[in-house]
Amino acid sequence: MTMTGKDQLEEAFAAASELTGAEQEDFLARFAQEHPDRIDHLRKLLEADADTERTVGDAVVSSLERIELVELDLWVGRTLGAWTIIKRIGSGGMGAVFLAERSGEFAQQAALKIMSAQLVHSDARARFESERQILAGLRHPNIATLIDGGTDENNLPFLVIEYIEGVPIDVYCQERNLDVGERVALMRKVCAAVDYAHRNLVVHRDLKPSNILVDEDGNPKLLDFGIAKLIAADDGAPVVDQTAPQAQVLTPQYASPEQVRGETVSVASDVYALGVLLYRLLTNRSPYGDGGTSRREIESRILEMEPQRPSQAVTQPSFPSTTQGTTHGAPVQLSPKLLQRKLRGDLDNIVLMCLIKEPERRYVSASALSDDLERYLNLEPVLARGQSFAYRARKFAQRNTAPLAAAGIGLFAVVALTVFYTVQLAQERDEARLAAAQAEEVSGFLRNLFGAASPEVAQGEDVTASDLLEQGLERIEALADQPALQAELLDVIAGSYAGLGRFEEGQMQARRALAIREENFPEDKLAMLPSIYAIMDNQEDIEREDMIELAQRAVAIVDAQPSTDPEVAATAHGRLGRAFFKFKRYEDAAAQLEKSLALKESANAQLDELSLSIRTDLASSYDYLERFDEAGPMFREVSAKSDELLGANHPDSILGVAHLGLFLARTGKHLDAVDAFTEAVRRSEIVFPGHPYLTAFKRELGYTQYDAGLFSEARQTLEPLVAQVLEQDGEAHPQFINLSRNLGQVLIGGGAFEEGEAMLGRSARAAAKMGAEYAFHIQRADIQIAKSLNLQGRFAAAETRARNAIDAGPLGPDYQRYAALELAVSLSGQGGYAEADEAFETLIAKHEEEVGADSFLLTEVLAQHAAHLRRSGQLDEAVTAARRARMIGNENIGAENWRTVVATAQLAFALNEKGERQEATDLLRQADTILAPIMDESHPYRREIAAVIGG
Amino acid sequence: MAEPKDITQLLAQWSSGDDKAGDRIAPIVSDELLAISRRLLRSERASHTLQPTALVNEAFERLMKVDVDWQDRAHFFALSARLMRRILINYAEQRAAAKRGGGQIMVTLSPDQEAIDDTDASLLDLNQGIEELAKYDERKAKLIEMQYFGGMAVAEMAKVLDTSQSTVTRDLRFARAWLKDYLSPTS
Repeated sequence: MTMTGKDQLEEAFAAASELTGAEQEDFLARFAQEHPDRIDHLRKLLEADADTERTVGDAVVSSLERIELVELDLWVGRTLGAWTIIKRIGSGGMGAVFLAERSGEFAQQAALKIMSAQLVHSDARARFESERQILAGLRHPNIATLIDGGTDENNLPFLVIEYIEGVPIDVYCQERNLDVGERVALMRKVCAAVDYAHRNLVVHRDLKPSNILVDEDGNPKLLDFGIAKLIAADDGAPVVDQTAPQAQVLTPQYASPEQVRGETVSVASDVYALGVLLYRLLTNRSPYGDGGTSRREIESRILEMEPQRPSQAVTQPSFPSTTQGTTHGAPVQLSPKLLQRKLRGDLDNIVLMCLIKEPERRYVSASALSDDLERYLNLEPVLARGQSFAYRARKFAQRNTAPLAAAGIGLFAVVALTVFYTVQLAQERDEARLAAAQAEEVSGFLRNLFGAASPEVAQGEDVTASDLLEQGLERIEALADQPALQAELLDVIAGSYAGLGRFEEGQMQARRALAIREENFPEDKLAMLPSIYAIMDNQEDIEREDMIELAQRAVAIVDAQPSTDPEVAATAHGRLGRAFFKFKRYEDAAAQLEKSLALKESANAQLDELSLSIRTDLASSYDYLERFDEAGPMFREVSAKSDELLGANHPDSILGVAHLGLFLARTGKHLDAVDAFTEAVRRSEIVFPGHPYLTAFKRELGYTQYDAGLFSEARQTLEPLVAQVLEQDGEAHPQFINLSRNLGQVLIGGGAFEEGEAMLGRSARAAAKMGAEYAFHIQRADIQIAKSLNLQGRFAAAETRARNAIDAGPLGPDYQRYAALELAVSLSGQGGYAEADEAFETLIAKHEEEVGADSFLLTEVLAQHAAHLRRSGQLDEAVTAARRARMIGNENIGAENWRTVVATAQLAFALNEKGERQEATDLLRQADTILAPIMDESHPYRREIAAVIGG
Repeated sequence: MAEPKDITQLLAQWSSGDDKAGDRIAPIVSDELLAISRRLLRSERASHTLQPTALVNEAFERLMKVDVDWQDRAHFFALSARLMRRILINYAEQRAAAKRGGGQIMVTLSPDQEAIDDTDASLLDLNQGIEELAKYDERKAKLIEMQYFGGMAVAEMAKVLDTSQSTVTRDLRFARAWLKDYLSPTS
């Protein structure tokens, strides 16, 4: 058979390109003898074939991209929220990234990411929102932080993220000529950030050099957190509709086999990508070789091909020693031989352990990978033993509960936050405001978090957090031969139950964990602390008898070992402090928390998260001990420091502002409290849209606006909130009952009696539907209706309501006083002066005893007392009572607060009746100026004032 | 979405003069083209995806005017690849013309004009390379076009050229090396 020259060249190319090294040389030598005219062309073709840096398709891709870029540049100069777009800095399938600037007082540059319009279908959008929430919770030095977010006028969502001036990690390694050890150390920082994200339930899914920038100081920063996950929302769903933006692995080179197959992506997938990255940094190659191959070919290699050992890969011809200049990655200052020696063994094993096809056989976490890299750096034996140690790997796999464990750890954070929030907020004010609704809200939140990570949701089936926990428990049962791990996981599960409000189950599992530890490791007392804390976390509402005992046990454990890490000791004392706080033993709480803080600061005087949390508790204790001078600055400090340390949008910082708001409200600084809650709401709308916190802060805002006399503002805050909870949960829900009652109160405060009473009636009817357990809400509504009736002079009806409220069942001390006040007013109004005299005296004594002689709450009581005394003709006594009311008001809530003004009016009325008309008129003119903006002319107070002024 | 079989039937009906089939086919073909351009982008540098809707629309408009004997889905892809190549080259040529001061400015040039000029230049170079390759071996030029402008898989290319997948893989490798060699500055 004869071949044309052309065929011969192609034959020879096909054969030679499969050969390497000496074999290829031999082949070429033979070919040169037979076809001297073609050998040059063949050599050049082989050289071009081996050049992996240039690919034919680059020009096509670039020109397609640039058409896109021209369109994107139309965004430059536009303003989104507070941000003006300066220039485009990146684009990709999910959208575009711009450099943006915020002018004004908080001038700042940031990266602004716009979601592609094509992706804004409802599902992607919902995830964008929840993602924003999760991103906001990620606060790590190696993760670019979320600054702001919103939507443009076309409702296109955008995110504003810290702008990182840096270069991709592979470029950085190349430019700085890092050696192997430095590259490994840099990778450990990346692992730490990835691990942190995993603990917060965020799987990156798109780790690659262009998403990891290294700044001038050598700090890697991860970008695009969560966005990749957002994009991959439909993982696992079959591709059915090509027009819908599909879940696509954006970077096949870094995709794990399970991602290629469209299966569930987990922590292990990121570990895989870290392995690919490490491989590339060490060898400048992809684990599956380079060469211009199609996506499909890359994917099939990922699924089937066993990667070459890195130490072997670096000796291959495509190693950059054969090309010049444009490569990024391998430590090129080393010869391939030397590099091979460095990589052989441990680094080979570590990298390959990440790249195992089966996710469950890889490192269980990014921190496990990081630990092994550390062992490598310290010349200690590493865990990874390569593929031949299949047995070991299988042992490892048995312990691989990574996705669950990671979820659990993240939950701990959520749980801690929730518990903290529940304890502090719920107890500090009206305990029913955060009633049973909370558990459900929390579980919804957790479901979202779990949902993001759970295979079942990805496949379109609903799965509850509880289901996941039960699955987790089943898995844990099989671990009986590993008691330490079993106990650890039970603690995690217990923590999750606490988050779901399923305290009984949680306590049971945590007590089991403790028993396992006591039985198997009786000497390892420190290891018992997490179980003890997990029990305590499950003592929110029930069976908390031994809470203090447990906390004391934790303290005994840390105190018995003087070598204990002071921060661990500080945590134990802090826990005991918090337990005392729960039992209202504020003195003891403050003492423990002071000790905790001292321990913490002996170890590390920095204001960090632990110290902020201790200070928050301590400030709350001081608050209850009425050591306001100490509590106030501490609340302010925590809030300011938290903003600085964690960022203004960190959940803890937002809680800090809310705490400050509560403190201000309690101490009568209502207008400042309104500012604080306005700020908390503003930040929460960025960070937790749709989250229970946001509802809670709006609620607090409404109340403080009421207290500040901003009745119409309070109405504007609460009305939409009532509508919202009605839509979400329906009428038969504590949220609705509480909020509608408070809205009723606000309406009455502003003089809209009819509307207010109607709203209170709705609240009471909703409570009635919910059974005897919720009957106390009816009593509370009755008290407010009584108040409304009293204000309108309908005293007999008011008396009936007040008596209903008092007689229907036990009431908390606050409500007992509120009811007693309305009863006393109604009696006085009907002429039952003697009875009213007695009622007021008892009430005032009770007030002085229970809330103190100078509480602003007394202002209102004394003002009403003055009104009664005047009515019954005891004018001098009326003047005295009114003056005292006014003085307390002036000192605590300011002369301009409506409660003080009402006291002033009572004083004036009494003076007027005593004939001191001039002084009375002056006082009333002042009072009316203040009341005019907040109360209608038809309001009884203003009508009475007008009547007296008019003579 | 519709099965490929339906598409080819509709395409056949449409190309034989049934205008209604053309109306029905429009959205389907758009979808297909969208998918093509996505795969096209991912095949080389997967991280750089974009939404080539505008491109696809233009490709489709051109598609509607072409009278082709539609054999199967693979041929349809091959034709799309050709159209895509034509569109991109047109853009690049127009910009090059605008740069020289003649012709009509199609798009606003963005500040980093240098890079864009490079892009145009390398695309036009590539195009010239493919034309040269076609003189050497037309089938190989077609393979390059199908892979890089159509994002087609080996199996589809094998179908269009009525050959085996292993031949396609082998020929592609040669064609790539040939092109890279032709385009390298030292050649």
